[in-house]
Amino acid sequence: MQNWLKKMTKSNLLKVTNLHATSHDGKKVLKGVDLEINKGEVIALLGPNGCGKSTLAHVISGNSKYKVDNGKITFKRKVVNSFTPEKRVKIGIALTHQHPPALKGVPLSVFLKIISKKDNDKEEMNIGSELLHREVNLDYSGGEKKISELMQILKLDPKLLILDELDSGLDIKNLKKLVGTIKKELVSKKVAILIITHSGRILDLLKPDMTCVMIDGEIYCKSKDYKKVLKTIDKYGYEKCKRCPFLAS
Amino acid sequence: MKSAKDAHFWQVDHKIKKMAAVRHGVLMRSRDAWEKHSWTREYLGEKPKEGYFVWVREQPDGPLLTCVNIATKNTRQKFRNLLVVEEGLKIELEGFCGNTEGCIKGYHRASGKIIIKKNSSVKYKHVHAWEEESVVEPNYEFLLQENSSLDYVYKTSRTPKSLTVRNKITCLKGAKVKLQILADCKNTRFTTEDEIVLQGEGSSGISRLRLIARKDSDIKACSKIVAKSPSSGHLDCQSLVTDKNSRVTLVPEVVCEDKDAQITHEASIGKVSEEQLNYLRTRGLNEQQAINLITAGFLKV
Repeated sequence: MQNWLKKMTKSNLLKVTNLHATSHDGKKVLKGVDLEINKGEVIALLGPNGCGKSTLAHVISGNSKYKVDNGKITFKRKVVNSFTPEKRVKIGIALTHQHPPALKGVPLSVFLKIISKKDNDKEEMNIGSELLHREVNLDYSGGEKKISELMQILKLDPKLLILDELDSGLDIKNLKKLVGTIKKELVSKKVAILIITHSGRILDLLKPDMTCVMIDGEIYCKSKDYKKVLKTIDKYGYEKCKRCPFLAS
Repeated sequence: MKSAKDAHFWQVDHKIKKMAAVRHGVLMRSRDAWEKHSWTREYLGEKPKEGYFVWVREQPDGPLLTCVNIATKNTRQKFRNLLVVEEGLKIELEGFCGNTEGCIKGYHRASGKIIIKKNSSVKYKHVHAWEEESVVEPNYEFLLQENSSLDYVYKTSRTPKSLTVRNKITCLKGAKVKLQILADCKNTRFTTEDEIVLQGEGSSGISRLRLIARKDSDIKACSKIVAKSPSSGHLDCQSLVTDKNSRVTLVPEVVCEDKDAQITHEASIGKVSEEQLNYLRTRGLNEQQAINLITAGFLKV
């Protein structure tokens, strides 16, 4: 195959270049992030609390709470910096929120119909049927919120799914169930996944192609071996990650 | 109610289009009731010019429906209504008032009394949809006799330029009321004054207001509960302001005249949450669709 053709077929689905972003209170949160995700790839992003992982997820999905000071977000070869969140959903970027707000007076079943991008949306979901009659996220347990988030995402027919701490607040049984659904409905259909997490539980189940570590608004290392990354973090802590001799790749 | 034709009582401007015979009681013009049943004068006062009288004497097999429209510009309606529910019945009422399509201006004044006798329960859904130039003033008094109950929802989906809603509810021993006023206001001066008087021992009342101010609206809501006996009551007034040219004033008032009564209140005025807006936008809704969904949920009974 010609080189240029190889390049075209391997072009990134998402490319984040030198991304700098500031929160609404003026704090610089992202300080030059570079990240690439190809179609069908599963990428993990690890990092200590407050390092900017969730901010990156929200900036990619277009949350106006954050201001992009510099850098580019390219999705399917289009620079999407100026796209509204809804336009980003339309082109295939979806995010599961870590702390989704409640929507009083809106049953989940109704909400799923409103947001669905699927033309013929009659398929039964194998998760969360017990939540359908309840108002979205109102008095949900931590686990129920995650199930509801995934149910919504499946209606959006995404090309890239960002899972923001999907595994927090979930027991192992429910985590396995959700990951099973993600594999069946998304990974097998070549949907790219960016997993933001603290723990290795979800990585054991989803087996990322690449694992990145973010510290203080920058991605410091990338490795194809998530077990090695976890082991190193466990041994040296995030503070020493910047100088970690094993992870340079 | 799917259509005005389904209503038991239907009036357009000053003309009664339909007045169905009701098996479970009496339905007639209130002026005829004033003539025929002298006891109604105590409630109706002077002989009414227009309005309806409903006297429910037996258990009905379905909801009672009324519909009042203004179809001709500048029509001035002045209703005086009376509803009496005899003891031990369980009834549902649905009332609709509004302009017909194409008529943007009218005056609708309605005052009424609703008497719910011992051990009866009434579910009353009152819906208004008025066009921009209209002036509307419903003014109702409810008397809840011993151990009766009322679940009253007043909802306005389209608001006129001026809307003044007054409700006074008196609860005797063991009577229970839940009053809900739900208004989505656009270009409106809306005043609501409601008062629940807990007269009898063991009575209880909840007043729940959900008000949205959009597009140059000015809302003033005065909500009051007075406890005159060992009773319990709660005021819950919440409002959303979605527009910089709108104003909302909430005035909750709780009065306790009995040491064994318990009355509480909560009131809040806020904007549509940025967090909810952003959340909905990450589900593909644009800003206006997101606001509409949030406000529709806010007004849900």
